[in-house]
Amino acid sequence: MPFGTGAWIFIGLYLVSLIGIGFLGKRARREDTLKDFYLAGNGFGFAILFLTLFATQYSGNTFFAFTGATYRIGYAWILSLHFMTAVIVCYLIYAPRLYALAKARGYVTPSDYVDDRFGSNALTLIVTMTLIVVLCNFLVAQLMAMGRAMQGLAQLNADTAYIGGVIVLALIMVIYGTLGGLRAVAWTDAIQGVILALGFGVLLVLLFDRYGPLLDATRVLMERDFSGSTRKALPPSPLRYREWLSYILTAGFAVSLYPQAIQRIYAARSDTALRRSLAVMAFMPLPTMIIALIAGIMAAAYIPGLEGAASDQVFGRVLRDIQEHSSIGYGLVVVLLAAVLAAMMSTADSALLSISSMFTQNIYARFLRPQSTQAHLVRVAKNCSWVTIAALVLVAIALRHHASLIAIMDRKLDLLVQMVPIFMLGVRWAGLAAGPTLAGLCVGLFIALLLPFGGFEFVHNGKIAGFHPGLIALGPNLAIAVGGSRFLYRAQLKNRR
Amino acid sequence: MPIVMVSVQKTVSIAMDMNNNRTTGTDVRQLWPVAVYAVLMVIGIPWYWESDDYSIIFGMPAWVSIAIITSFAASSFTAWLLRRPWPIAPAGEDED
Repeated sequence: MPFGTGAWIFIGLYLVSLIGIGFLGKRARREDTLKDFYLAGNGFGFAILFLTLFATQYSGNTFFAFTGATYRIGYAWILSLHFMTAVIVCYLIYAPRLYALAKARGYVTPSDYVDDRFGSNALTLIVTMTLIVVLCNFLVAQLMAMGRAMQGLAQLNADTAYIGGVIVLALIMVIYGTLGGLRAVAWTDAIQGVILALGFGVLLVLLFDRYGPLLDATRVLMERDFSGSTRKALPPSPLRYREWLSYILTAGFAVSLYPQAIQRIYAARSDTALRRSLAVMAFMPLPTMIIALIAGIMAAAYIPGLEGAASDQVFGRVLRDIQEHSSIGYGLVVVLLAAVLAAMMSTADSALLSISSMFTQNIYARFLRPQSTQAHLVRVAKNCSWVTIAALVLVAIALRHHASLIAIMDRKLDLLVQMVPIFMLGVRWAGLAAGPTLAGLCVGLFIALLLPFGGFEFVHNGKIAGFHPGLIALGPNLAIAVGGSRFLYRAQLKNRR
Repeated sequence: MPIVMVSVQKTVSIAMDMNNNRTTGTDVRQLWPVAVYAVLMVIGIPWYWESDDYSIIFGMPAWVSIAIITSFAASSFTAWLLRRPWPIAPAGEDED
């Protein structure tokens, strides 16, 4: 039973309302500056800040990639609960000091901090380029998730549904993002956050209504484990434990350093608003990750047989299955689809805004046209958003038959975790010098890319003995940054004597 | 208003301090939360479970339930750490 006209009209109205919010964001603009466009003037209080953090943090990955991962490896994907909690813990390392600095120095982008803290053009440029690459990767993953959502739900040819979904949703997102900047994005995030929370609740009800108690699904998986064909309910292997630890450290550090998350720290109206938002965010992995896990477990028990990239479509299959058989009716499934779209768009719009802000502020205004007026820079930022989204839509369409969403996620974590010395150590230790930090970053990025793409025999599923290449590369990165800084400091002391 | 001024000056002095070649002073005694998180991580990752454990709690394998409980403990501890104002935060408009 495909969605009827009424359901698509509901979804259509919801999407059009996002563009309406974009117009409201444009009208609320106080000045034509990058700071107003990207940080919404004085910033946000607790409610908007929490909802925008929530909607940005929980994305298409939560529904599609995490359900797909649970489908493939079983209950062991509960590790996602740990690493999403670790993300909030990692904010505690740098957010208090970075927030204070941002307010005092007027930072707009993460690279503004790097420039101010280290005073090195080369370091700022490499950090900016790396963050843009990471965000492009992230945005492509969200666009692919949008396409997969449409594949699972629309009664169209799979390719047509995927391409149509990616293009239409990307277009709506870029329209409201360029109209109202962070103000529009955060306001739409607030609505999307509420719909998302509602959607998780609806999903749980629908899952139990369609498949029965979780206990039954657990027993089905345990019986398969007992026969030796799978290992999805029994305690995992030692390799999986190492992977678990690696995910906590890598994703915890890396996801907390997403540029869009850093910009939300900058956009907090007060430290009270930020602390309260983070305190509530600390509990959000519990409902969200557990519900995504339950969806994956139900699918593994009752819809077996999907392999590879097809397993990332399992959430769409679950939705279609629920829609066709649920006794509650498809009204709730429509709400759920709206929540899925909200999750993907609210994350993707934030990533898009961060890309355009870093390009405009830290590359264009810094190196290409330093004398530009603020109004000109805002125009450049908007054009940058359009060009970026057009290019990434083409990439998402080209990749539609390729990499699994988790594989894409892992590579960006490997790169992002190399920023730990710069943001987490640099904000706390004044002795960290620019030269060694730059050298450490270059070595870290090189190793993090070489290991997964070098064709080495000891690399399995993009990991070494269960550990992310990025986490391994962080070792030499930190050693060079810290060791080099201490060496320089001692050499300076010696020269003074 | 004077309080706001003093606080902003303090923040700026912290920012300026980063240009000096010395630490901004993380006391080792402040690192005890790291030990708490480490203990929770050791308990939460089910490395110590028998590989053929079939016990079930709340409809899930028992090792999954323990992982969820430790995660809840970590979330509660994090929220508790966030209860007090940050010592270096600048004065802002505290709403609500």
